[in-house]
Amino acid sequence: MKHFVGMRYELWHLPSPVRYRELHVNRALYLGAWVLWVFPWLFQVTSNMRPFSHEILREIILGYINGITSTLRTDMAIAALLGIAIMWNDRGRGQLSFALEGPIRRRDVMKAKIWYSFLTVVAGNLAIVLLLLLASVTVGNMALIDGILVRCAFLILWQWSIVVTALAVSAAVGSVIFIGIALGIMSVLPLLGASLIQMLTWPRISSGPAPGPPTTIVPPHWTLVLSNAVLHLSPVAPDYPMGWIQLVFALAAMLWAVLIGRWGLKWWEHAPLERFYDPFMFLMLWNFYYAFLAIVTTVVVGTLVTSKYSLNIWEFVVFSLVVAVSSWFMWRWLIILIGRTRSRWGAGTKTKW
Amino acid sequence: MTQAISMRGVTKSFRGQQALVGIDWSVPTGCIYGLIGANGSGKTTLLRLALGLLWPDQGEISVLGQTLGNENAEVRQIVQYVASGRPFAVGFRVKEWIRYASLLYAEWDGSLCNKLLVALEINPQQHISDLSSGLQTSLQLAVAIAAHPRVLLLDEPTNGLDVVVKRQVLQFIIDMAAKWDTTIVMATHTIEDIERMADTVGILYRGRFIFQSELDAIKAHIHRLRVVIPQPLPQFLQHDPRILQVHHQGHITQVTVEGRLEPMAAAFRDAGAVLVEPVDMDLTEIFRVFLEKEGYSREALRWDAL
Repeated sequence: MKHFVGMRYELWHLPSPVRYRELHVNRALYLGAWVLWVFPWLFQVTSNMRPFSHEILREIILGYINGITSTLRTDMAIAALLGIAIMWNDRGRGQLSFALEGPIRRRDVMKAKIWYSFLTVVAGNLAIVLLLLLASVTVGNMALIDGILVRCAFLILWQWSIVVTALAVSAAVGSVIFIGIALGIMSVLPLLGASLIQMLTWPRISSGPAPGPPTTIVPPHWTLVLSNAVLHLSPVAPDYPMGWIQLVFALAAMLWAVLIGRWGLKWWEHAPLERFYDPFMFLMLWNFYYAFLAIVTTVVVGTLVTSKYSLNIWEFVVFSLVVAVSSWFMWRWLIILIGRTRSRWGAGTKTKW
Repeated sequence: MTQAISMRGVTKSFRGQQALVGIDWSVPTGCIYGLIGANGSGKTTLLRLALGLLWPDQGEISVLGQTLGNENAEVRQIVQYVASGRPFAVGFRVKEWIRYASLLYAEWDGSLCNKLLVALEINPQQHISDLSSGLQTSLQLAVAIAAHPRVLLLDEPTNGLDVVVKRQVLQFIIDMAAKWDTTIVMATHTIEDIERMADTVGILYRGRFIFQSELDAIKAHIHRLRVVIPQPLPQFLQHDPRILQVHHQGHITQVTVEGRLEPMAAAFRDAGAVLVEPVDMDLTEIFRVFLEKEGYSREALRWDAL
């Protein structure tokens, strides 16, 4: 970089050529994600601004605060897609490998993506919050504002953590171990941790003076909380009563984003260049083998889950995709690990990454 | 003389297949070095190692006195790499790429770049993806030269260029090297280009240097003699290690020999040769002789052999 060679590395600083390049290659994606985030809310709020629709407007706001609006699920999916798209668009249209052959630091390239995706998440959520604040002023219920702001902080951190995770994972395609670990942590550990927190903090509410014997609302089984969390791409089960605990989740999400982002950066900086050209680095036949194992795994897991919970078709599709993709990488990782012990089943690759 | 590029014991393999084995290579500063090799001999890998893009499995590389590590972004400020057929930044227009390069390089010379674009007839408004492969390589060259490099690595740089442009570009590079004391390493199959430009030549074969020398020395090392000698041929002709090739054309025998010319000529005269005269050999011929000596012939690719 022109003026920055030898300067102390600073987290917030992005060299001008890196900024120029990132915006040139991916600006449409950042803008597109912002529009996709904001437009459904804009449509919902503006179409219910009429006086006789105040009740619907109030429900929209409460749905946002309590995290039970389907739009929130879409927002999480957009965050995940954004993380994957900004890396793969750069690999394809941006010819990232060509840029990395110049005097541009790999770390700066990734840092630019993390920063711009953060700005996009913040801009999208702020626009939504402004819309909802306008709506709460319209319905005359200013008490909702606190809830909106807390939920917004939570969503910014959680969506950003999804973007960073997706970015880190898609940057590290080719790193079998990293993908295995990242997806494992992404899909299991934080959600399991979140389920545990919810189990421990779930309020036990006794019914009051209503007729009949007193009933106690007990927390659901942890597997249900976990499957809810996977299906909603959120560490918080949708029926969990929200409050201050949101901030705990938000901080945990942020911590995780920092951890996974740092991990991704580390791989990104230290991977040999040939991994960028040849990301899958193993024989084609093995792809079919891993795909076969992934399909078998998905069918088995899908059968177990659907026999326990009644999932609708779209929930089942999302669940199956999550399981299939994860198990594809997991099987691949496992078999390559076996291959390192020189087992005759593990000749899929000779890569050390 | 200081070394622009220095490699010691460098080995590199891909997927377990060795691309370079135990390479010791030095390129003096200000030199124009021609790198010749058959397909898959490791020329591109060698250049990409010198650029710090690939990392050696073993060995040490230093460029302009700086030992290469993992990142090497600083080195690429002063070392430029141009390769034909390299996937270019297709999402950019020419002027956008020039703008990016101007932000990127400390020694950027904008006016020189503009003059080069005009001379090479590259329209700044065009999308890079719409340029022909020859023009894409020309654009790479223009950017590389305008970045004022101290080392310029060229990998088949004239592929896709027409003969007029090719000649002018090569002359431009020679002049640039002379004026700025730029070190040039050029890998190509077009050996005439190397003969015209290079002062030092290295021949790579299956990941190893089989010969490295100044161009004049390499030409002084290999000779061809036209000999008229009574049959049968003397025994020494078949067993002398200095004799690399023997071809019979009627009663004339062409003998390619390694080492000093005069002792060989005298040996033929002593064996009863009525005519012994040297024949000019160009670098292409010398290269072919070296490859055949190493066992590279592609005999199976003859029509009647298939």
